[in-house]
Order: sequence, then structure tokens, then C-alpha cells
Amino acid sequence: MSDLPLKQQLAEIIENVIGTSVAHDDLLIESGLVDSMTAVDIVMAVKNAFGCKVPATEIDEHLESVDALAAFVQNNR
Amino acid sequence: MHFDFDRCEFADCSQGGSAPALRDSQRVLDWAGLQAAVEAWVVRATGEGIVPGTALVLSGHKQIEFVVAMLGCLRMGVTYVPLDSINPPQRLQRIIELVGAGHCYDAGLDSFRAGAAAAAPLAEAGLAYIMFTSGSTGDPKGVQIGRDSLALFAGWIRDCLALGPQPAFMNQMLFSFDFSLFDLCGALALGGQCVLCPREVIADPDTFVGYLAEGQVQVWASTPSFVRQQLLNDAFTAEHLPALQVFVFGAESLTPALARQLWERFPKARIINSYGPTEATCSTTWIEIQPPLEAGVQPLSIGRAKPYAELFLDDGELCIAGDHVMRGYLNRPDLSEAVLFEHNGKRAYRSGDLAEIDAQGRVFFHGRRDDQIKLHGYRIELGEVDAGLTTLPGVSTAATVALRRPDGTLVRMIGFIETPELLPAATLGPLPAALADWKQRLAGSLPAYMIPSELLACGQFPATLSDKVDRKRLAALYQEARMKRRKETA
Repeated sequence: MSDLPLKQQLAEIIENVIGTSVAHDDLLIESGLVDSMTAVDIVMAVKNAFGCKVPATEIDEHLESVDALAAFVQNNR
Repeated sequence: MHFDFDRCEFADCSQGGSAPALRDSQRVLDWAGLQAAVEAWVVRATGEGIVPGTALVLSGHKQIEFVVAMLGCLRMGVTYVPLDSINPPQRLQRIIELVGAGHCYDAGLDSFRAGAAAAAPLAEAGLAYIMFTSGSTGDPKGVQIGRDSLALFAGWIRDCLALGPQPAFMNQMLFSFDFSLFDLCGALALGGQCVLCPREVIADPDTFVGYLAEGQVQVWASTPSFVRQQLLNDAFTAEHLPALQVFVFGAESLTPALARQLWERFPKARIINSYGPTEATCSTTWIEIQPPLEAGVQPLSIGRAKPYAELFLDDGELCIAGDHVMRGYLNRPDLSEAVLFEHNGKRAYRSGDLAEIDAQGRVFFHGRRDDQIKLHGYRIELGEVDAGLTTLPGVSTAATVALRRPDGTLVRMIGFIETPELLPAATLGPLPAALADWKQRLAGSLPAYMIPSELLACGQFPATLSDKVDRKRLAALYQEARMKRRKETA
């Protein structure tokens, strides 16, 4: 994996899936940037990159923002 | 036993009556029970004054009663109009009026009620069903499919796909979408079982897998998007679903990457890809996907023409001819005339899909020539969403944009409302406070899959040279605004 800071790596993963730029504090799900389909792709991409899988029932919580996802990956990788 | 779609009646009734025919979350109905239920339903419908040559609107969601009513209509020569309860009441009522259906049947309540104020018989005879699909002017349009077309479709599943004796099919797609007929016609024509999967069962991954395992589902038909969602569930594997043998896809592009992921979990499964607009009875082409797959994410071929279908290109646009082509749009000769024509003595349909056909007759899909999109398998006219947005208070002009990734794949819809009094031309901004509840409001008139993911205000809309809203420019403005926000917060 690259040497970029974790948040930046996650932001790039998300940007590749949703096809638009994200700021680290953007509310991904609440704003509509991420929907249930793109959430699946993000979870799978994070699993491939970091080896940790967001449980299906906790997607709203850990995909709330790049910051939230970074905290999850930090604690579970 | 099975259901003979050519004659619209039950056949081989002396055997297999105790085998399961339909399953929903409440009960299992065997073949003898299904036949009895259909005959009883026909008696009730007749008693309600429903007569052949008229339309009956069926509403509900994955109840056995819904299927009983569909078969009852076919038995009677009544044209059914299937509507899932995902449609808000306002849209349901609009469709009842458009059809001029004198009666409706609610499968959830198992009861009949009065329909349109101005009921009228259908102008077109011999229709099996009318399926409503998104219309670019804001009103959904009714695709009229003949009984013989439906029989051709059922015959294709029975004779061409080698699904084995009495297979059990998963039925997950809404009855409002014609691809859901694949499971119904397959199970009924082959004397198998149709396992109806309501959304509350699907919502819980473990419950869903358990439900499919209990029904010993062998054939899975869905959009690629739906199966992708299941990949989140670690129990979605051949170990937990040992009976599952065949995946059939349609309604959107299937990629090699997804096929590969599926084979990792179901190494022995067959994968069939299929394509076809509602206007040509669910599916027109099909192909069995064979490993090794080409690398990359280019969508796989959508297949070759079925035995009864002819395909050709007109200026890159895929045209479909055969007896499975629709009998026109309900009460819209203007729309029908624009897309229907005769080819070698058969009805032919101009699909609006751009395609390429290779030397082996394999068709490859290359997008649309208009503003119709397929989002997660849902067919949506951006114009209908625009029209829905203008029902919001204070909104007179709106435009919807399909956001795509750099490789052209579709992500989601973004809505824009024009607020020239609040913002400079071609400048985006937040919504007026009065529209804070826009999503809830839209849910009153549009089904959930037609509601944009975001709604933004824009000064005067950018226009194309022909004075239409420039949707591409709106998408670019959106991307610039997103980029700017990321830079500001980095």
C-alpha cells in the first residue's frame, strides 16, 4: 500500500467508487454522496486494501465520513 | 403439473399436484392448491363484474395472491397491470386513470376495489399485460404485450436454457418490472417452484440466505447490482446455498469482474447474461458466459438473438423484430409511431440502445441515444424525474443529471432546480430552506429509485446550442464545486 496518509488513501478509494471528490468531513451517506450500492463497493475496496470489513449492519456508522472510516480502519486493520 | 402459457391453462394435472408451486414469507402452495386458488379467484373476479378485454390493476408486493391474480387474468382473458407497492399512491392512481381500469385488486388485502372514474375497455385485443415504464414527458407509459408474446418468452425459458426438471426459482425483482416474469414463467412453465422474496426478507442478509436455502433455490435471476450487494454477506456461498446452479442477469451491464467474484463463491454455477427492453417482452438476446473471461471491466456481450427474434442495426441503433415486440404504448399512438415499424412482415422496435454486433452475432451494448438511463437495473427517463422535481413548491424548472465515473459507468442521479432570483447564472448553491424536506415530498409522487441522491439550486441553467438544458455542463459544475470543497478543507 502507498505511503499516503490513511485518510487520503481512503478518500481516493471512495472517489474512485463515487466518481467525485470528497472532503474528509463530508457526510457521505447523509448528503447522498454514497448510496447503498456504492457503499457495497467501498466496503469491498476497503477490505481488499486493508483487510478489514465493515459489518453490513454498521455501514451507516463507519461510512459516515472519510474521518469515520479512517477511525474504523485504524482500529481494525 | 405446469402452466401452459400457449393455452393459458394448467396442464398435466393428473401428476405432481402435491409438489410446491409458490412460496412466500407466509406459506407454501402446492400445484393442486395453486390451480384451485386460481379457479376460485376467477369466480370472484367474474362476480365483481370483471370481463375479458378489460384491464385489471394488480397491486401488492410478493404475495402468493399476486401470482394467483396474474394467472387468473390470463385464464380469463383479462389484461393485468402489475404494480408493486414501491409506487406511491399518487403514481398508482395516475396509472389506474391512464389505463382506464374499472377495477383494482390489492394482493396484500386480497380484495377488489373500484378503479378509474372513467373506465374504458382496451382498444387492443389479446393483451397479456401492460407494464408501465418511465416516460420522458413525466407520465409513465404503458407497454402492451400480447398473450402470444408472453408464451414465446415462457417457451424460451422452457426449451432453451436447460434448467432441468421442476427447478426452483428465486423471485426478487418487483412485479412492476418485466424481468420478474423470468422466474414466474420459468417456474410455472416447467412445473417448478417460484420462491417469492419480499423486501423484509431480503433486508436481513442471514434471513435471506436461510430463506433461499429452505426453498432450495436453483435458479437466480437478478440485476448485477442486486447480486453485488449480496457479496457483502459472507454466507452467500455455494456451501450455504448448495442447490443454486444458475445465475441469470439482465437489465444492466454485467462485467467480467462480477462474474469472476461469483465463480469464486459458486465455482460450479452457470452464468447467463441476457438483454431486452420491456417493449420486446423481457428479453431478446442471451448468452452463457464461459471462462476464461476477458480481462478488464468492459461489459460482457449481451448475447445473440433468441430463435424468434431478429436483430439488426440502423445507424448504430439496435432494432428488434419478431412476434415478441409490443402492441404499442397504451393510448399513445404518437409514441408508438416513433419507435414501431414493420420489418419482413413482423413488428419491429427501435430500441434507442446503441450496439455493435460481431461476426458471431454477439451483441455488445454501447449506451443510449437519449436521456434514458439504467440505474442499478431501474429504467429511468431523466425527463420524468425532472417533471417530478417541478412538483416541489416554488420549483418551475428542474433538470436531473446522471453522474458517471471516468469510465462512463453510472453512479447516481443529481437533481438541480433553477433559482435565477437567488443565484447568478450557472452557479450552484444550497437549496432554499422551504425545500429542506424535498426527499419526503418527492416520495409522494415518485418511487424511491427515481429520487435523485442530491438536490442543488442553480442560477439560470446552462443551455445547449439547441436551447435545451445542458446536462453535461451541470454535471461539470457539480464536479467543480466538489473539487473546490475538497481543496478548501484539505
